[in-house]
Amino acid sequence: MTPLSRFLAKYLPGFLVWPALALIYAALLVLVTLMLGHAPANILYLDVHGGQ
Amino acid sequence: MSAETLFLLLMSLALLPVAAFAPRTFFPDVVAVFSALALAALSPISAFWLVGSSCLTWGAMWLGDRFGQRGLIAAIWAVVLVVVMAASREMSHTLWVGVAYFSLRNIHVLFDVWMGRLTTPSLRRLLCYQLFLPVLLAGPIHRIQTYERQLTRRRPDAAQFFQGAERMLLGLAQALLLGGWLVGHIKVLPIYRLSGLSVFLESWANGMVGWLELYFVFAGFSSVAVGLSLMLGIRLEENFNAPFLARNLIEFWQRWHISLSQWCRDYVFHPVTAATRSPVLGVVAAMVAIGLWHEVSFYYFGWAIWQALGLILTRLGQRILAHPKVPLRAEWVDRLIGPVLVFSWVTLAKPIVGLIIAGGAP
Repeated sequence: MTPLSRFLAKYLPGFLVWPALALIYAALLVLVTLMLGHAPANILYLDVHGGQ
Repeated sequence: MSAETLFLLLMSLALLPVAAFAPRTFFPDVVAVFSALALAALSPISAFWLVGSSCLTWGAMWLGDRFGQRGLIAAIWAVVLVVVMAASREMSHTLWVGVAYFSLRNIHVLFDVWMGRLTTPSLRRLLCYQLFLPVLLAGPIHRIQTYERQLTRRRPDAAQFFQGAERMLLGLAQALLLGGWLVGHIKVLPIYRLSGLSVFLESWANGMVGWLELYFVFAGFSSVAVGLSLMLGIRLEENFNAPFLARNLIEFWQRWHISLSQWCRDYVFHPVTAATRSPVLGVVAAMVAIGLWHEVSFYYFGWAIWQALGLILTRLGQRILAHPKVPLRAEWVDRLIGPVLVFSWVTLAKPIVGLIIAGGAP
């Protein structure tokens, strides 16, 4: 079990855990894919410098 | 997400099936060759310097073993590594990737061998440790001892793989949704633009949102690195532990960018404290090292002094509060007020240091 599924199992009946997990994963995947084009600030901790 | 970041993320994902089919004995070698090729495709000079500096680090250790003078050789080579790391930041026409992280890993191995905590690793072991694609972009600055222990214990299974995949997805969501989208929206709120009210307050508000952005994006990408490593069967050190819940500044720096804080503790704070017998100088040296690692500038020097001052005041406060005549405080006061004070002190660095450097205008 993943940490998120353990968390969901605490608050949801057993038969709802996997559908809820699938729903959350799908939503996150879609949102992350949509946001790939919108760059967060190029913070210095992401060590990519120069190349202009 | 920048094209370079996306490229490294996709290459790390492509590494998963390659590593899965690699024979167990050659797993680190396959990962290293793949990582070197991926980095060379993106930034040939970074790949060249990663491999070259690791070979020279190994050469420095070999020379130290062979002819003595380990300390002198280690110190000279560490200075060269730091100078190249700083110089790479100034070369705006050349793309450099991961230098700030792999240089610190080289120094870690060099100093651990010098201090007798580690026997000189073979060149193959050193290159396999350095060439680990998931950590090239944003760390953590993992230790060779941990990496090799994980390689020995590595028993990849489906549970670990899915844990890693979930961690990676949550990390990406944290970096892109919270660090990108949410912070982007906070920045356009009218309350965020306080220039009419006070330049100092506006700079402080900038600092607060800046730290939140740093946390979401950096902790998010650290989670991606930890998740990808877990998918490969390697459990790396954590880089963050809810830093904004810290009850004092000392605790904050033990929870924020943990691998860098621990690096500075082991290779700057302890040696300086041992040499000078002054923990205050040790703290100042460690914070200056952290500050200048970010950027060699007056701002980050001032930033480091401000954070060191906070740590020294925290320690003094702890001593005063530990006095038997001081009445005991309730735990909830610490938990409630501590994080607010910590966040205020950390974020005040921007307006105050800005004010000092600009002579009145932060």
